[in-house]
Order: sequence, then structure tokens, then C-alpha cells
Amino acid sequence: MSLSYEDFIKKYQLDDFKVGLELKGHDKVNFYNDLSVIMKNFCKILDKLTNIASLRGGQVLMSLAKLQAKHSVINKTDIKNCLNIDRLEKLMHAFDYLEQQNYIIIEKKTQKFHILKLNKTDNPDFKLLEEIVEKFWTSPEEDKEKAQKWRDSK
Amino acid sequence: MEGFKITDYNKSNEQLDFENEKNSIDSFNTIRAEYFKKRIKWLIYVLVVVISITVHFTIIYPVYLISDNGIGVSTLQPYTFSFTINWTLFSTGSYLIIYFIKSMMMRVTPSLKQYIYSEINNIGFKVQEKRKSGITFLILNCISVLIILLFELRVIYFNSLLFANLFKGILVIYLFISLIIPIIWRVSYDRLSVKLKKKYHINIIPNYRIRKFKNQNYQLLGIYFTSNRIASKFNKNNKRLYNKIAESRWLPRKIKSFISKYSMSIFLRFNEFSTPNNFQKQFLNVVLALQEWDATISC
Repeated sequence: MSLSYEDFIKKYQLDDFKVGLELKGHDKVNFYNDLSVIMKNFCKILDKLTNIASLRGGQVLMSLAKLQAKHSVINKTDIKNCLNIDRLEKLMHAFDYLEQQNYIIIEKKTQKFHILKLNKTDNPDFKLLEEIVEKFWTSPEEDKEKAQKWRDSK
Repeated sequence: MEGFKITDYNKSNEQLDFENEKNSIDSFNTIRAEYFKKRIKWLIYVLVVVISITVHFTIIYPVYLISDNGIGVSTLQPYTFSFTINWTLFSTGSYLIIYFIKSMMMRVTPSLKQYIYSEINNIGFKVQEKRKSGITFLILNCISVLIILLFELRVIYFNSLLFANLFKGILVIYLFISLIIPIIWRVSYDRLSVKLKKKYHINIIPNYRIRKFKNQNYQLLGIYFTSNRIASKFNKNNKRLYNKIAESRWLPRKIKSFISKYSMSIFLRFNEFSTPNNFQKQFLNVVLALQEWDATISC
């Protein structure tokens, strides 16, 4: 079920400074679950929004945040695979745009091997993006694997 | 670093590409040009069938063998197997007209089909083009033609008037059904479809604006996905589960435009709308909704 930010504040009386916030046992679990629901929904909104725009920049950012949490070195092909895009050319505009905007850093090791990183120095909010995406976002590659696994199951 | 520059992505002529504005407009124009070409082709086929049937029934068939019995009275005698020939022409002509009109209306063009096939292949699934109406028509019509032929050859013969009339009545009903079933099948079920599992499949229905408007530059290529019927709308538990899944995945519960006939249905289906930019993502969204549904129902 969807839980709004306002509902969350009201439920735990976070804006009422006369009431102390004590979380024990089930309350603590519920609080954690509600916070997870909000973050999950927020991540879903991000995912949907990045799929509306014609440029795939938003999706590239999300996949980079996801991969960066797991791997130290990420190249353009990793992003392509994560987004399940058939040709790297389809992402070139997004890479150009994100680099131009200082959202990502591209280190050109060789002519073909380019390492990508989220530019967290200029954009500290990306740390939160990385945390949310890592935990709640499923990449197209993961969706594809899940769908295929279901199809092949009896 | 060089200034920001969007380079044109070169595409081959056969392939559709929606990666930048120029290629998108080119691709959309290709689809539209193919659609008009296809429409003219099917229209010619319809006209050929209509003219053939009209010529047969208005010119050829009324030419009876006129014989004079010697006292100035002419008798009219139709040629042999006239009923078999007439029925074969009428049923085949009617089916073909519907078949061609439906083909004319379908907005799938060769390059668009190729695009959809390659996108679906890329996520490990396979598109099937359902054309079961043709086989159904062939089987049902062959049986009806054979029965009529045997009846005209008097292989099927009844001495009793009651049985003869009963047989004729049943034959008329069968002829009607043998024609109407393939037509309904063609109109409703012949389309692009992706089979997921034994009980589940997804239909793919492209939609785009055909006419160009002076004031609008409307170049949106939309592709609808509709799943098979998953449950009745009147089952409250199923409806609740359906709403929950649709809500969590942002799946539209009411669909607009030409596939609105699905919203009139008493069955629940998952629906999704996509554009070339999020085709795979939206398709997987419906697949995973079905997976969620299947997992919950199976528990």
C-alpha cells in the first residue's frame, strides 16, 4: 500500500514536539517498514520518471548508482548490459549529456575502455540516490532474468 | 573536453530508430508510408474479391441453359454443382473480404514488426503472429463444401421428408457457424502475441496517428500491451489482488482508444502503454505483474 510522506509524519507524530518518539518492539519494525515503503515508492517514481524522458540519462544514472554500490570498476558496456540495451550507440547521447552536466566522470583508460563514476563530489545528493537505488531499484537486466526464470519454471 | 554535441546516430534504412529526434521522425514517416502502401494493397485485394463475386452472381450464374420444349415454353436449368460452387465462392469471398479489411486496419507494418520482434528477442522472448482464423476457416469450410457436394451428388439422401428437412436445417446452421467463427476469430484474435507460459500471453497492439494535422506535429508511436484474461471482474478476491498489483506497478486499469473493447469485458487483464523509449521496460512490467499474479494465485 502506498504511504505518503505526510501520512508517515502524522502516524508517528514526528511534527509534534510535545510527544516523545519511543520506538520499541513492533513499533520499531513498523517504523522501519513504513520508511522502506516510502523509499521504495520514491525509487519507483524515479524509475518511472526516468523512463518518460526520451534521453536515457536518468536510467544511466540509476544503473551507474546500482553498479557502483557493488563493483569498483564500471565501464560503458556494464551500463548497457544493466539496462539491457542492444547497442552502445543508443546510450552515447546520455553519456555525453551526463558528462557535460558534471553528473558523471568518464575516465578514458584506452580508446575503447572508459570507466564511469558518479560525480559525488559535485553532487553530494548522489550518495542518497546510490543508497536508495541499490536497495530498492531492480534494473531491466534483473527484471529480464526474473521474467525468464518465471517463464522457464514449471 | 569538447563542447556538448549530439552526434547523429546512423541507422540502416530497414531499421527503425528512435534514439534522436531526426531518426524518430524518419522512422515514423517510414512506418506511415508503409502503412499507406499496405492499405492500398489490401484495398485492391478487397476490390478484386468483391468484383469477382459480383460478376459471378450477377452475370455468370444467371446464364441458365435455356431449352425449348418445342411448344414455345423455355425452362431454366442451373449448371451442375451450382450450390457447391456458389457456397464455395460466397464463403471464401466473405472471409477474404473480412480478412483483407482487418489486415488493412491493423497498424503493423513490416519495419514496425521487425522492430517489435528485435526488441522482444532482446529480452529473451519470442513474438508469434497469430493467424489461426485461416486454418479454422479452411477446416470448417472444407467440411461444409464436402457435405454440400455429397448432398448434390445424392450420396446423402433421405427418403423421409422429415429427415430431409431436418438435415437441411442443421446444414444451414452449420454453414452459418462455419463462416461466422473464422470471421470472429480474425477480427478478435489474429494479432501479434508473446507466449509467456501455458496460461499466460501478452498481445501487442501498435497505435499511431495516421493523418498529419496542420497545427499538430504528433509523432508519438504508442504500443499497447494487454495480457490474456486472468480472472473474472466479479470475483472480489481476484479483483482486490488485481488492483493491488496494478497499483504497485502503475499499470493503467482503464485503457483508452481503439482497444477500449477490453475495458467493456467482464474479465480482468493487465494493460500497459509504451513508447519506443521504454518498450522493453513496460513489457517487462506486464510480465512481472503476471508473474506476481501467478505466484499469489498458485499459493
